[in-house]
Amino acid sequence: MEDSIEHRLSALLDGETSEFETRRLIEEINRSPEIKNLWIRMNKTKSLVTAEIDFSPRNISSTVIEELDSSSIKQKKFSKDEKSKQLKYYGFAFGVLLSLGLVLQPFMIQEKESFKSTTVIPALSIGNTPVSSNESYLEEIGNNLKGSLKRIEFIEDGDIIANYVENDSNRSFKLRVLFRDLSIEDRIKLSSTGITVHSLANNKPVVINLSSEEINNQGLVELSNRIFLNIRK
Amino acid sequence: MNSEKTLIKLSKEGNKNAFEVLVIKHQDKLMGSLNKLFKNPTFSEDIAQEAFIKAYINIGGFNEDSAFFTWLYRIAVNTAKNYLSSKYNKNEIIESEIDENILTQIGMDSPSPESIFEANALRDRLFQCLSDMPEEIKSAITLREFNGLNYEEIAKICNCPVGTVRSRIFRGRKLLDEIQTSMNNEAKSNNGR
Repeated sequence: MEDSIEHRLSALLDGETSEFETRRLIEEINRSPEIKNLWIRMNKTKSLVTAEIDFSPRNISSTVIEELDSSSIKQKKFSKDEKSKQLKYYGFAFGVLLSLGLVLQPFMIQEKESFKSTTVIPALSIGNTPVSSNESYLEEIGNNLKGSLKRIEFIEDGDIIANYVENDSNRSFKLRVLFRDLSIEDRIKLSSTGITVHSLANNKPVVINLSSEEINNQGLVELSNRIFLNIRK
Repeated sequence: MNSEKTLIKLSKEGNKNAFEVLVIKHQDKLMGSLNKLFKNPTFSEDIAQEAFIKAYINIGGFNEDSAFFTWLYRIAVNTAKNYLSSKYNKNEIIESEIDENILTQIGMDSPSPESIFEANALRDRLFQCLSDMPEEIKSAITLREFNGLNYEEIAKICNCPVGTVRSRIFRGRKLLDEIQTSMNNEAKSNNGR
């Protein structure tokens, strides 16, 4: 005997339905407003029991779908081999960085001061105080975050990636600073990796992306708030 | 079994019905998380809507290395931060001024005391119902909802078949749903008076 619709929706709620069962349930939810309401109600009860909501928000799914239907929104096409292309790209970029690092290393060690003055990275400003070099700027950010700057990576267009370690927890995080504006596609792509803020420095666009493999989302949000709070000061 | 993988796979194929099922599944958690951050239900709702739309557009790029909710949450937080950042850029303020104070300044639209009271009253009734459930149902629901175990793990702990776990959880949910329905009806009849 087949399970009732409620029985099967309960399993769907827990992610415990087979592909075939899931496909059937999607059709049934879409076909019957009654079943859709039941699905919404079951989700609300679950959220209330697990305290995921502290008030009872309304259902926004219909607005989202209406918006998707009414406008000319189309899904972006991502080719299957995009990931391998990205890997090739990063491999190439890493190679270039490594070569640059090897070439520049003697100068960086001997003439740290000259590195500061010849750096090609545009300087940011903290409030109204100009910062003489990006290295000291990045170190300052690290201090504000109670972390230490471990490594700076230089990428194309003068962009940089600064790698930090939190002093007390030893967790590492990355600050990627892009000194240019990004296309909508690149903005969205970047927004799925860490916390990103698009801002201005010296009237020029700056994109700051904070990411970490060791800090969860909530931690990243708190960290990003600390960065921007301190930049403001 | 992973229903979510199927929902994501179908959404990637442009199946909006599958995506809607995903939206319903994650909307409360997303809006709840955003509201904890921004303390403004209307703003959280707007950001959640935009985040879902962005998620639909870009779901082809979601490589499933992380959970769908993690990916979605990041899109939502970035959407909120960029909204706030652009708001302040327009006012010709150079630096990003995003901090807790500003995040809470975006509005005074907190949930009404009535809605908080109603949600708390409902939650109390749901927990009362949970504690009154037969032991085997209560265990299954608790292990699932509060410990996040899957059916197979619960079956091992409870020493019963997976199908039994599925049925017990369903029966528990049905009892909880009856409470919610009766409270909704009570609220409707009170409002009608």
